[in-house]
Amino acid sequence: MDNATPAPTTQVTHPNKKKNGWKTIVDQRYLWLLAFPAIVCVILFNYAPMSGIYMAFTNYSSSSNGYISDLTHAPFVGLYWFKYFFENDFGLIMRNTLGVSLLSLLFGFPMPIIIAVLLNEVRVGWAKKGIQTASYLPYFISWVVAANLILTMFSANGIINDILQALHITTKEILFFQNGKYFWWILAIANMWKGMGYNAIIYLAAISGIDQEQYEAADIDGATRSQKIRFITLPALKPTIMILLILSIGGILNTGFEQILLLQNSSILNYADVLDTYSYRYGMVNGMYSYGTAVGLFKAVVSFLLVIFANKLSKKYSDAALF
Amino acid sequence: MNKHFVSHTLLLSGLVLGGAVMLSACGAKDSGSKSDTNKPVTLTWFDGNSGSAKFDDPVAKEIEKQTGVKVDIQNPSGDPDGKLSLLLSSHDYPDIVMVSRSSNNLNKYISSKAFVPLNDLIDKYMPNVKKMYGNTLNKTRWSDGKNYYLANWYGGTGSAVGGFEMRYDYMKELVGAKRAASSKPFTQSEMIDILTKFKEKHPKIDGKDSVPLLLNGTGAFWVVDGMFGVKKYYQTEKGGKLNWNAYDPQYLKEMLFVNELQRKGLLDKEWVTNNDTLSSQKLSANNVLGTMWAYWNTDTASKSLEATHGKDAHYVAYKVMGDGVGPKETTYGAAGSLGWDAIGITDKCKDKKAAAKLLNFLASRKGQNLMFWGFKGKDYTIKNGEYVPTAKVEKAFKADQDKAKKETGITRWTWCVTSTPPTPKSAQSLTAYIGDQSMSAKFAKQNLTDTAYDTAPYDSLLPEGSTPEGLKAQKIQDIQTQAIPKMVNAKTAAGTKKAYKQMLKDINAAGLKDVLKVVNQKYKAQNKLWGE
Repeated sequence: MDNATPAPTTQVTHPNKKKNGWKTIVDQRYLWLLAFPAIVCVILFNYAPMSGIYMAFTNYSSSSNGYISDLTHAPFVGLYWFKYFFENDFGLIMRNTLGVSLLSLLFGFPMPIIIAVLLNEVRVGWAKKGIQTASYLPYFISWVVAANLILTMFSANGIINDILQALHITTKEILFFQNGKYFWWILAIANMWKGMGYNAIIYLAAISGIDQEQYEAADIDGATRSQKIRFITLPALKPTIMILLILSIGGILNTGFEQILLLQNSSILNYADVLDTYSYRYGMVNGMYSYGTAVGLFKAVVSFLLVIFANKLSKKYSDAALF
Repeated sequence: MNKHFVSHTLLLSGLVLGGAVMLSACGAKDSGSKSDTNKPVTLTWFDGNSGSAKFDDPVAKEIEKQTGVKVDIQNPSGDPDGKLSLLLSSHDYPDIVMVSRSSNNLNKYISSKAFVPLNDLIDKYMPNVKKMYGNTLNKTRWSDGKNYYLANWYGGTGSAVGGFEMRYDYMKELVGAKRAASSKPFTQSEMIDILTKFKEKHPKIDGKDSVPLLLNGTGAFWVVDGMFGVKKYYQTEKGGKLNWNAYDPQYLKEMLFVNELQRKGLLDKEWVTNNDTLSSQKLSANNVLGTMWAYWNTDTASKSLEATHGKDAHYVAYKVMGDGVGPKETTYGAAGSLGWDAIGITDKCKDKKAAAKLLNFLASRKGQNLMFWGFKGKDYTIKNGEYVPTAKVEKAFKADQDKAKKETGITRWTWCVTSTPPTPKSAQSLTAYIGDQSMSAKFAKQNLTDTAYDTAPYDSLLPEGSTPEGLKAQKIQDIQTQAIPKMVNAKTAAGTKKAYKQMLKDINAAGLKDVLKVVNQKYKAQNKLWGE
């Protein structure tokens, strides 16, 4: 690398002048070369498919002429599909989506933090490992299996009803899957059960990065265990918690698809139909691509706005922020 | 510009070029060889019923030998309709596609020109197709008068499908051995009596509450429709205007019947949450008297019950007539005179001649025999005009049907097939021959064969997915499925009627009028095409 790389002094000599774009690229050509495969991947897999968004504003139907031709020849209908969605099912679907995901967030978000902090306090090595393994095992069970387990457990003769009746909390069995009001709670608990152990790993990693000297200093000062958690562990976890919270708020419209599809039935569809299952049923199963895209696009835009909003809040009230 | 810069630039452009070549290589398709050369042609074929089977058994090899075409099977991996829809939208469909005739996908594959017209190919290369299909080819024409697909399993005149599947041992106990074995159908009130008596006699079985009747969710309502003679659409006169089936006066009666069962505690409390797995599990648990389902759906449960509770602990089929429905007016079964599937050659197929020759072979007597019965002499023989499996093959199929199918290839591939047996005396296929010997099949044959109606005129009449009417049709179906639990689980009969009225109001508000307009337009065009 001798005279091939121009000296960086050019930047210093014209500090006020806007830099020539092409020249910068030439200057940084090795970095660009390095980034090239990644850029191609991003364009190919993240940006090129976005052309399909246009489908939401047309009446797309596929033909043998190929995707691009179909897309450009599809009659433009403007916001017709969005209008149809808002006039018909928007309220109900949005209520269910938010109901399921807010409850899932309420249960599912703090649980991994609690597990991680408590596990950190367990001093017996095998117990700690055992609990950790047991708590993240559900993550690896497929939803198909988990859904049938849940359906059986919550059935009229299932273990949940048996326990409730044995403890004289209820006298008659509760038909959990025929009353829409239970659905969101069952789903939130199921989501929590499945994800808590796995999500705790991130917090455990963050805890292991805390400087041990702080705990030693606290010991000398005579801090109790709960004080150490309150004043050392949790504050050290705060940035991680904030980032993960921002991410989960961005994903608030992602209620999870398989579990809902597998657990819903026609008697509780009023409570169990969420954005994902709705756009799947209309868009994919029935081939209403334009309508499915419109619903999907709506979801993406709202999610995007939510991330920005959460990021702003986080920036304002703590130092942690994504961008 | 110095040497280094030049070499680096070259390197850079080389990489870009290399990347481009790699990417284009990924995108390139296996173009397949031409049939003019003598190498076997490979054709890709989507078969939604193929599970995860590969085209590698003796029957498959014989088909390959006879036609010079190697078939590369595309398995459905999940819901075939969803996959077909996805394949079409991504222009990724194979050379030959098999799609359900009643699904909207058939419309889509034809209207998007993914299926090519077959008329020229039939004239040039498919004499057997012409001979075997005959007038069916006329009926499966598209609205433009051309043939885009060959029907599969066509020519059905009504084989048994669904009905009341009741435990034979309990039926003998409740109505006597003679009545339980007779082919006389039961009336609605007789069936309610049987269910009530069962509940009274056996309130608990094995410590569990007994369940007189189980339903496999709202998906089982085609059987309830059958009991009341409700069809896909409501039509007051033959060839007349089609109305939504909910407008059939029998439809409300049907809901009132299931509601009565529910109110009397004769229906499984959790019928609406049942799926195939859960239903099968419950039926095997020994505390259920019966269900309304296809007769083969209860086979797994019967098999396990038989092992523990004797040979009569078996679910067998009975016909029950709804009030005001005659024994010939029930519609428990559907006779698809035009078949269940459609097989089409797509525009992606590079060698349509080879594809045509393949289909032509399958539609020959030789091809049909091979797929349904295997090899003559080795797998079956013909005795006095009846096709009979050899002892070895019969034993293998009785021991483990799936394994035997995989090893012999018999009935593993059923393409371009007719439902008509090879001779009047014979069963339709080797598996049908063996299946007919089972208790459930015998009862189904005895009690349910005369209860089918031909669905062919009503298939594919719903508006297409890419139209606003298609959206409305989906919404209407959603409303209807959601209304069923409300009608059934109502606390009083008046509640059922109220829920029914509300449903009619809702489906009308969702645009039933527009949907029916399209349905009737299509129906008219179809009648015109069929010359009816």
